[in-house]
Amino acid sequence: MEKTTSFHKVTSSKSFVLILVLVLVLVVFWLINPNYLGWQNIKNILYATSLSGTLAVGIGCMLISGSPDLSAGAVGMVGGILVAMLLQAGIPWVPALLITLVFGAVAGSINAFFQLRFNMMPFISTLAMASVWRGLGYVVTKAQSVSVADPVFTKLGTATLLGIPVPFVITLILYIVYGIILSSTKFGRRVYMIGGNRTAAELAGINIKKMRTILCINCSVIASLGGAILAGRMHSATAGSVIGTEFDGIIASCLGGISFGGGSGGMVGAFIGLILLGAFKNGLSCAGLNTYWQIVASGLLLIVALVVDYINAQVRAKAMSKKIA
Amino acid sequence: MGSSVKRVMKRKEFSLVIVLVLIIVLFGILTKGKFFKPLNIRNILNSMVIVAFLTIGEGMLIIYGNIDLSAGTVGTLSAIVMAHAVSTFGLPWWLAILMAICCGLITGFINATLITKLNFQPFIATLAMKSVAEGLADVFGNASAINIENKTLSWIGNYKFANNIIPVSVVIALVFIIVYGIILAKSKFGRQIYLCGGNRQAAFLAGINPVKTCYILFMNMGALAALAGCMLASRVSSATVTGVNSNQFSGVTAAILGGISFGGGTGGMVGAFIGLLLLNCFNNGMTLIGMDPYWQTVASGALLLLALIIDYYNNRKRS
Repeated sequence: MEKTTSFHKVTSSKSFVLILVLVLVLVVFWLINPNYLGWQNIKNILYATSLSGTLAVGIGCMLISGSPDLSAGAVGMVGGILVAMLLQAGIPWVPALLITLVFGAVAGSINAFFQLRFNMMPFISTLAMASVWRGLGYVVTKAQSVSVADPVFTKLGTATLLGIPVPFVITLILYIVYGIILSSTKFGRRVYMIGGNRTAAELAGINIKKMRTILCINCSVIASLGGAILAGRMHSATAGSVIGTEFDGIIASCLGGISFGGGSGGMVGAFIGLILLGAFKNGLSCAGLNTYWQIVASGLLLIVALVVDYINAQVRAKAMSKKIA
Repeated sequence: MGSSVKRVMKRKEFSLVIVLVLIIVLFGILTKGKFFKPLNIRNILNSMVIVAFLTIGEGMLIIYGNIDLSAGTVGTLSAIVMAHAVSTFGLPWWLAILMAICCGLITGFINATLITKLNFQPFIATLAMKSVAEGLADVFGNASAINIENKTLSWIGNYKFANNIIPVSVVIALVFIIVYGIILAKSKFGRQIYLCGGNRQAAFLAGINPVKTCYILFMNMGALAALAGCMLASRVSSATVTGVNSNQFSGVTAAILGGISFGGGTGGMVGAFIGLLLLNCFNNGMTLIGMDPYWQTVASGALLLLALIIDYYNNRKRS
């Protein structure tokens, strides 16, 4: 019987490794540029990661269930534009935000419709919808930015709660809520089962269609929320915003252990992955590297994360077979 | 009606041709004949060339059951490699193109390794590669563009036969389509691709090496993407950091429009070619009638969805 002390359990978990890497990244970049750990810069990191983090929660749930959603960014962008236009039309911010969330639900339903009715592969159908939303966003705004006039709404986007930016607090709350849902509720378990083995899940009586629809709607609603918050923070919504940030979210989720095959990973790891990615990219720019290297680094970091994941899986499988044998 | 005529009509490609003819007629009427002007035909052919290379590569990958989301950015990066080779290092044009192709081969090799040896999902592996290639293109492209001043390359990109209408590049693209079409339809390798796509386990048991096929297909895709990038760069005499990025979507769309299904194992180069024609005529027609370019983005997404819906109904009919 192997000794599995709690110390052993913690140190061999994936999240622990990630935290170690995070600490390493923080220390290295702080040595390069002491301002890196300054409060202002940390706020920058938190602001920057709040958008991709928000999107990542919704996308992460979908990934665990085995189907990616590449339209989240475009939906977020349209969400931001929608809320800005509604506010300009004089609608108070609460109904405006609610209408935007309803739009997110519609977008998610459309995704689910194409995937369920026509058996489309999720990633290609969401890729196509991303084009549609992106184009519509540009058409409606005529490629100009729409300014957000409502002072309360912009306050939400830029205010700080105990020094922490409100957008990040919202992101954090989302991670906690969905983390609990995924790990401790029947619904959450179903999500993992669908991702792990879809046929088994069906045989176990899980209504795949219903689950897929809920997850799609969930993802797009969260995405439109993220876009709306960004519009508030930036005091304007621009066509072309948000797009691409979902990839950071996907990379962060992968770093944190959410597997693309579906069926594994969790919000804790995804959150640490998010902070790690954000700290890493910010560190690169603090060290003077331009944004292009950051894009390369993100891609490389993803590859590294997946390689580590693969090695871990092999190690675990070997340990498992040793135990059984 | 003869039975052979009936057979032709039943084929998927036939309905595609009908749609193509309809679109051509529709835009011909809408643009009051401008659509058929030689200058416009030249524009259509020019835009087709670049997407053609991408369609060939993506088409073969989709038949096999994979996809490459990095093709566009790899093409852009390869074009920058070629531009540097010619302008910064003064190498001869053929060596520059060779280096660009090597760039494509290397990225294809990495993609295949990630997918087969490390069990990455194809879309995430190629997504990561897309990021890396995009960033590297920005870095090496000096954030904007590298100018190319080479007569031969310009000639390849721009020279036109037949009184300035049929570009050399179109001829090259057609040759590639025909050659790959023959490989796909008639050679042992082509049959292996279809088998792997239809049922990979069965293919493996039949003695085919799916891993080797995967490597060949991805490296092939990389090389074709590199050629696409080089074609564009030669035509405009500079390699930009965005290059052929936007054409990648069209490549996949054209393949699916042409009947290459994600279910894997079906579709062919003839259909892909018709899909290519369809897509480009459609895009060109939209521009001609003055449609907002942003509406065109919407339309290309909608077109892909339509292609997938048609694909769904086709699959159902078959089973």
